[in-house]
Formats: sequence, C-alpha cells, structure tokens
Amino acid sequence: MEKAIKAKGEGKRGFSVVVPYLFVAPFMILFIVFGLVPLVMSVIISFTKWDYATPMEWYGLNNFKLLFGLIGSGQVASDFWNGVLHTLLFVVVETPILIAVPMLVALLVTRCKAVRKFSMGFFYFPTILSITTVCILWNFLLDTNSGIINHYLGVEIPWITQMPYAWISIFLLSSWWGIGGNMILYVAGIANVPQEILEAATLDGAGPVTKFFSITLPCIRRTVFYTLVMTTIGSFNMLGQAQVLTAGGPNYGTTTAMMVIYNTAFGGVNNFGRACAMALVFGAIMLVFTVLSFKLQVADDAED
Amino acid sequence: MTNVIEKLRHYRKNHSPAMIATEVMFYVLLLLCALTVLIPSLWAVATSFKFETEVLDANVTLFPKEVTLENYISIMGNRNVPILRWFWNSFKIAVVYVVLYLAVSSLAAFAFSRLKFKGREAMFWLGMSSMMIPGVINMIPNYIIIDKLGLVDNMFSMILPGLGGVFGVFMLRQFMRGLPMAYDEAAKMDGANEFQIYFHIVLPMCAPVLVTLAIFSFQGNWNDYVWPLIVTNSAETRTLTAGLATFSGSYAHQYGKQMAGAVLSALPILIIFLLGQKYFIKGISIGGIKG
Repeated sequence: MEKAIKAKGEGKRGFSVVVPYLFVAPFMILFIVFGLVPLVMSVIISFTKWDYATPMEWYGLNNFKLLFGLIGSGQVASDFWNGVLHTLLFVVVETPILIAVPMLVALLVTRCKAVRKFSMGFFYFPTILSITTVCILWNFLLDTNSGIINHYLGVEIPWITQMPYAWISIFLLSSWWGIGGNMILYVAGIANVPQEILEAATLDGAGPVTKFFSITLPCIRRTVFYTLVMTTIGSFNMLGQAQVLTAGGPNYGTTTAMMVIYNTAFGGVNNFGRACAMALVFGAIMLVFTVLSFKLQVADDAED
Repeated sequence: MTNVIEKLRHYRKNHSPAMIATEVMFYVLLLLCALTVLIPSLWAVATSFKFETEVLDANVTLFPKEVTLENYISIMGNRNVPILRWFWNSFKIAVVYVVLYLAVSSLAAFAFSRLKFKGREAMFWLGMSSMMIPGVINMIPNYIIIDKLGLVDNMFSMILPGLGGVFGVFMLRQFMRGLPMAYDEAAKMDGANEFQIYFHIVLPMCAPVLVTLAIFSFQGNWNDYVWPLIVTNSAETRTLTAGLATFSGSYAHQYGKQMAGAVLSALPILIIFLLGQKYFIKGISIGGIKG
C-alpha cells in the first residue's frame, strides 16, 4: 500500500516536471519551425543557385559577389543597391515625420480636452485602413487630370509618374496613413505625465516649450523610443506604397529593397538563392539600425 | 442645449478674453488637422456615388450632381474582385490569428515567468535574441515551409508563421513577473493545478495587456501585404489587403468604381473599430509600453 502511494506520488512528480514544457511547447515548436529553421535555411540557400523547380546547385559566394558587383555585368548589384538606397531615403525622411507630426497632433489633442477622446479615434481612422485601400484612395486624389489635389491647387502636376513628385506622393500618403498610430500612443503617454510637476513648472514661470522639453518629453521617452524603433522597422519594410501607388516607377525611381527582393524571389522566376542573399545583406543593414537604437535605449536606462 | 449655453457663460465669466482666444485658436488648429483626414475620405465617398462621366468632368464638384449606385452594383457583380469575400477572409484569418497568438504567447509567458524548469532562461533568451532578426530574412524559407506543408492557398498559411513571433511572449512575461506569486501559492494550497492557476488566476489579471496585444496583432495581421500575396494563388483565398493590390489596375481611370471599392473595403473595419473604440483606446492607454 505504502509502495503504491509512493509510486503514485513519484508518477505525479514525474508529470509535474513535464508540465512547464507543455506550456512552452506550442510557442517553441512554432518559433523553431517558422523562426529558427528559416534563418538557417536562408543562409544555406544564399550559397546556392536555385529556382525551386530544378535541383539546388552549390554556388559558393557567387550570389554575394553578384550583389557587390564583383562578378557579372553589375546589373544585379545596381538594381539591388538602387533599391536599398531608396529604402534608406524613405526611412530617413519618413521616420522623423512620423515621430514629430504625431507628437504635435498629440499635444493639440491633449490640449483640446472637450473633444480629446473623439479626436483620438478620429485621427486614428486612416491607420485602420489597409495600405492598398489607402493607395487606391490617393491614386485618385493625386490623379493629374481628375484628382482633387491638382484641382484645388490649380496645377497639372503628374504626381505619380514624374520625379520628384512620385516620392512626395509616397511621403504624403505614408504620413496620412501613419500619423494616427503614433499619435494615439503619445496621447496615452502624455496623459500619464504627473500633473503636479507641470503645474509647479508653470508657477516657476516655465513656458510651454520648456515644459515640453524638460518634463513631458523625458516622461514619455520610453513611448517615443518604442515608436522610433517600430516606425524605423516599418519604414525599412516599405513595399505596398511603392508597388500599388507608383509601381516602383517612374524608371525604377521608387523601387525599394523589399520590392527588389520580392521580384527576385516571386516575380515570374523563383531566383531563391539570389533573393536569400539579398535578404541577408539587407537584413544586416536593418540589424545595424535596430542594434544601434537598442544601445541608445540601454544607455538611457543606465542613466536612471 | 441650454445646459451647454449655461456652461459657456460660466466659462466666460472665469476666463479672460486672451485665454479664451488661445483656447479657440487651439480648437481651430485641431479642426484644420481634422480636415486633412476628412476631406480625402469625403471625396472618396462622394465620388463613389458619381457616374464615371461626371468624375472625369473638368468642372468637378464634391457632391454628385446625380447620385448613382452603378459603381457599387458593378463591383459587387465582378467575380474577379470579390471584395466582400476578401473582407471575410481577412476577418476570419485575423480573428483566428489573434486568439491563437494570445493563447500561445500567454501559455509560454506563464511558464517563463512563474514556473521553474530546466532550460527556462536559455529558451527564453534564444527567443528574445531572435526579436531583432529582420523578418525579410525568413520570408523565402517560410514560403518553402508553407509549400511543403501543403498550406499554399490555405488560411493557415497566413496564421501559423506569425504565431512564432516573440513580441507577445516578451510583453506578457514582463507583465506576469509583476504579479505577486502569493496568488499562485494560495491557489496551489486549494488544490489547483498549473493550468487552472494560469487560466483562472493569472490570465484574467493580464486582461489589459491582452487587449493591447490583441489590437496590435489584429492590425499587424490585417495589414500584412506581402505575405498573403506570396502564399495565395487564387483570388478566392486572398485577404483584402493583398486582393486589392491589383484593383486599381482592373479599373484603370474608372475612379467612381475605384472609390466604391475603397469605401467597401473600409466600411466593415470602420464599423468594427467604432464598436470597439472604447476598449481600444483603453487598451492602449493601460497596457501602454511599460515592458
């Protein structure tokens, strides 16, 4: 009898050792299958020449050499770096817009207390639309002949088919789409800034600008940091705008890195080896930015 | 109405004209900002009710001179652009994704924050270190994996890969670490097992973070553009975001129909947003980014 109880107890203990693993199993399996295995596969495929239909061929470093223009005509390299440069342009211009403008709108929304809740929902509206819906809408607004923007401005600018207008259109559309998302986070952050400190500063004669930079901004810097990282990553991945609104044109002028990779892998021919090499090089560039911004955050935390 | 007037009168008594002027200026500024959102939307809606000939007319006005439903009827009848079907696909996929994402992430976060087991830290940090790896690197291999699993054109191709994301686990673990272990111990004394503690005690306390996570993951899945394009071949199985990619092309320069499409694609999500707006704003404000 005693033995049986002991055995049962041990069996139960045996099971309870497994329990934590049952909790993490679904996540770990999915993470390994769709997060870790692909990473390894990507590296392996980048050393091959593979169109997915015929057997893989070992290609050594040739994909990377092609990307850096060391072999071949240099066309692959120029297409790829052309895309990377455009992506960087988008990141450098759009990220500051999507940090600064939502901040101004958030301050305005906070200030206008009577309609604060309503405005939050209202300015968030464009963000709930899918990027393709936004592109269809702006494709009409920006139309040279029947678009309302030219109509109101009284001009005939080919917004989508000529440089630099094509880029201006993309920035305009992306800002219209993205401002609400960061704005709502800022409003939520600003609401948590201790009111007493702001009032004390007012009594000490601090103006609104001083109060913003020395109280509000430091209080919400974690939110700002979060939006900065997320907006930067999002901008790096920009594809929809360039594909649907401008189709990468005019003359490949708005073709982004994501678009080059997508077209290499899925645009008719599955050039998987080359596309994986591109993804790795482009991914490494993105990684530099993310690691840098994480370093900034860690340095900032260390100051506390 | 009289109440409002009363309030305004009271307000005027207590504020100097200069203060009132600044206040009014801020509201006017806000209104101007609001117009930049409103005017494009209004034009889209108005244009969707115009005849194509009127849209192309040089003498353009916001409101239709003659209202027609022709654009909507034409689009609903076009089998190549099944917008409502796409909407249903998007919705179904996003909802299933959010439910599974919250379940998978919270189960793992519970173990990572409140259970002790061998390899816990190693597993957690393995996951976290991958958070910085850009998704583009996994895109092509993930397509191959989905294809080998026979999931191309299947809704789960747009659900499963995202479930391996570590952001949710990270956020929930941070939050769960802040909850006192005394709850778990008391429940254990009462004979509750780990799953009961997770489901009945810890999970309800995580509600605010779960709402925030649900919103972010819903939007991420809903707005995903490139992945659904890769893993679907037929128009039937596409999501709204991916399906509409070729929409402008199939109605080149027929802006009445393009706007009808845009309105149809925006309407359902707008309704969902308006219904859930209260929870949404709360979720973002409470859950915030404290992680």
